[in-house]
Amino acid sequence: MNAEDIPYQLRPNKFIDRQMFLELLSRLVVPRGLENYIYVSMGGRHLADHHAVYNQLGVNAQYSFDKDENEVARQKFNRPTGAAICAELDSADLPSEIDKIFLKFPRKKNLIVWLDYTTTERRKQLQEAIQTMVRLKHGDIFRITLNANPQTLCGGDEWKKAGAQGPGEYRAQRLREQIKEFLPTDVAAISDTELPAVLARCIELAANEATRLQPKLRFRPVLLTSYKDGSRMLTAACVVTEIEQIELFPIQLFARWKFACRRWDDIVYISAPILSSREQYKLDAYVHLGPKRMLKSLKFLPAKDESASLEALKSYCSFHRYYPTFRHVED
Amino acid sequence: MAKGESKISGGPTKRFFVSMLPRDIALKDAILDLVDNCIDGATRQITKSKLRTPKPYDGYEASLTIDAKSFDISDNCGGIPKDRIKDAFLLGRPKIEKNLPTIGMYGIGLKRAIFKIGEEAMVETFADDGAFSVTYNRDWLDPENEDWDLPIEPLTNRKRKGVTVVIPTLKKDIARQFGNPTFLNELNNSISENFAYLMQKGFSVRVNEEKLRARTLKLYTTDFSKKDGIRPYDFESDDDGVHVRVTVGFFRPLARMEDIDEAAEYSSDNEEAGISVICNDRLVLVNDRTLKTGWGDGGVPRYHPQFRGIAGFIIFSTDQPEKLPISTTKRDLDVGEDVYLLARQYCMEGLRECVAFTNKWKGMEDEASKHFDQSARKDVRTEVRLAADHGTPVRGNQKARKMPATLPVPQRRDPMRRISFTRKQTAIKRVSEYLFNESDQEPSVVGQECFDRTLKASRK
Repeated sequence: MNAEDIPYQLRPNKFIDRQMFLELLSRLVVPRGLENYIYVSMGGRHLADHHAVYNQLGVNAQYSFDKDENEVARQKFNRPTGAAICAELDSADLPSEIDKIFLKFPRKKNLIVWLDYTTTERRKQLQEAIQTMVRLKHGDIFRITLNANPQTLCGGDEWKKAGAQGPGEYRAQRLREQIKEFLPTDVAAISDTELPAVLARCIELAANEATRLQPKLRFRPVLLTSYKDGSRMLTAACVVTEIEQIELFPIQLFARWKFACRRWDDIVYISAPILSSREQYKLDAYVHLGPKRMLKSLKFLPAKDESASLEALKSYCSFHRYYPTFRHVED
Repeated sequence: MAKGESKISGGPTKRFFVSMLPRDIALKDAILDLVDNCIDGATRQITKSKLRTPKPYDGYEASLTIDAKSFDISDNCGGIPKDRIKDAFLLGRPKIEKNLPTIGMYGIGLKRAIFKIGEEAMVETFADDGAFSVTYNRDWLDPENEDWDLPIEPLTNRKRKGVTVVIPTLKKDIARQFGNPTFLNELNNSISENFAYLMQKGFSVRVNEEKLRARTLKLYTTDFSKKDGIRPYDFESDDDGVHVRVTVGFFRPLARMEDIDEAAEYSSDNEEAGISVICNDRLVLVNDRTLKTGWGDGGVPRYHPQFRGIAGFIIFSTDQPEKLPISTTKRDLDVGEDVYLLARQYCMEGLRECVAFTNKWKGMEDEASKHFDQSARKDVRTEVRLAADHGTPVRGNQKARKMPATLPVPQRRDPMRRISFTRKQTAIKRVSEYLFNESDQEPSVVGQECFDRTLKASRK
């Protein structure tokens, strides 16, 4: 089953990630004028992102793309407004399409671009990211999602057959074969949990390459998240600035946002516990008192042991505002 | 060093210039440098307004005589004026010449070519304000001799103004190459390619009396008045005093699968596919199919014989040669220059569009050929102005226009798919014998017949 087909009820982490992205956009884009922006992303067949960006932020200049004709037809059926453009396009063609997108929305000045990859063609994806980034301008927002599932680099005991010292070393070897030019040379091993952080550094190198190609541009990370609903994913968002522009972007106040990242290794790991509605209502009454008090109120462990339960509740507190509230009516 | 002395010499040695420096350049390129100098002379003679006309170099020519004994090159491009003589014979130019659309910046080409080719040489110049001869004798060219002064003699002036370089005695290995007709053929090809755009503007080059013909890029281009057809990708911009043009399209119809297989087996460097880079009308990079021009980067696949029909150029034109992305040998690029990176980015856009076209028509090359038949090859530099006349704006670059390629898309209601498989040769021969009563039919024909017969049977 395609991840796209899994409903959000079963993907609370992805849901939280999306809510955080929407809040990020509201903090970055609102001060500059929402009406200046075009939202561009692959979208998926239901255009869930496009709906959210339209409903919650009011950005109605939207563009989605897919290389499959039928998917595009479905996107057109599902688009939030008739103004949204759904195009049949390979992601590799997006960079050269950007000028055309602006011709279609002539009054818009800026882009929000999200390359939401799920496969593991990492070299192609980072190259496409660079080609997209070099075409961005001051005030644009760039976001990329990469597959950060360590299983994609080492399944089972493949590492033994390859003569590696351990799975970590083998993962680093495999990743180096895939994206030598983007992988920092000091990465010698990648543990079970390190792939998101390593990929974030790869994205940083890709951003640096984009700056080398377009020396006026700077890419500053603003939100890095990693979550796992099926496969672990890494999402990095950065803002684009130009050195000769005097306008401060993002505004100074942005740094005070709880999730605003300062560096490429500043990743927010989203790990929401699966709670029933009753559990959630109960915990909500104690959320301001902290994880320990919340756990005490439950009289049972919501995870395998006390430590894991406290960690889960800590995470619940962190993402409380974004936690999905949809439930089956009989829950 | 004497006690208390606080300086050491940081100057050059004769050996470095006469013996080491020529090793950095190929013989052919050294000769191209000499032709370049002739063109620079002509460019100095031509007014700026005339340079903008289609044939500003009409009447100017360089003539080379090359054999196993001697070498000489003469031109009618104005000679070296008196006030430039001193700088012309220095090794390295004291300052870069402004407002001249050249690629020569370093003032080393003429001297390096002489050091490369000869045991001795004489340079004669006939300009409006005087005529002189400068001699490089064997003594001066001795790497051990640290005397840098060159003898200069006044000459009786003549009507035909220009420069003549005579090299009466060749180095041994050079004489061997000049005596080889293959080398001379290659040289002629290189001159025809490298100076094609200047020849197109009227400049003429003769080698051993043969007038060389310009070889310029011609791409399939349907008239813009027609809605469909085949037209190349075209981009133009003015960036910091440099005019940039990028055009990528098809110089021949799509390669058939048999051609692709053959090309993959017998790869050739002489293919015309690829991207050429032209700086101030001189070819700096010929038919490149590497990362330098964007192949294998950012969504553009690495070059493969499937893309044999794709060609294009990146043209840089400027009066400020120091802004050109070229190396000192003038036959290679400085790929890190900002202006080059910008052009490469748009070259990749063009490549991507053309590559996608070859993918869409894979296995249907014959059908695609019909579209090519309805189009015609046109000289891109002089006859195609897609971006300039019909281009759309480029985000963030007010002085740029671009025009995406126009390429037909195959009907997709019942799309064509390629079937490919391998079988043992004996088995193919047996089926060939069974189907055609002869065992040596092409494997693809045998496979196709099998399919067609089965399809026919399935419809009964």
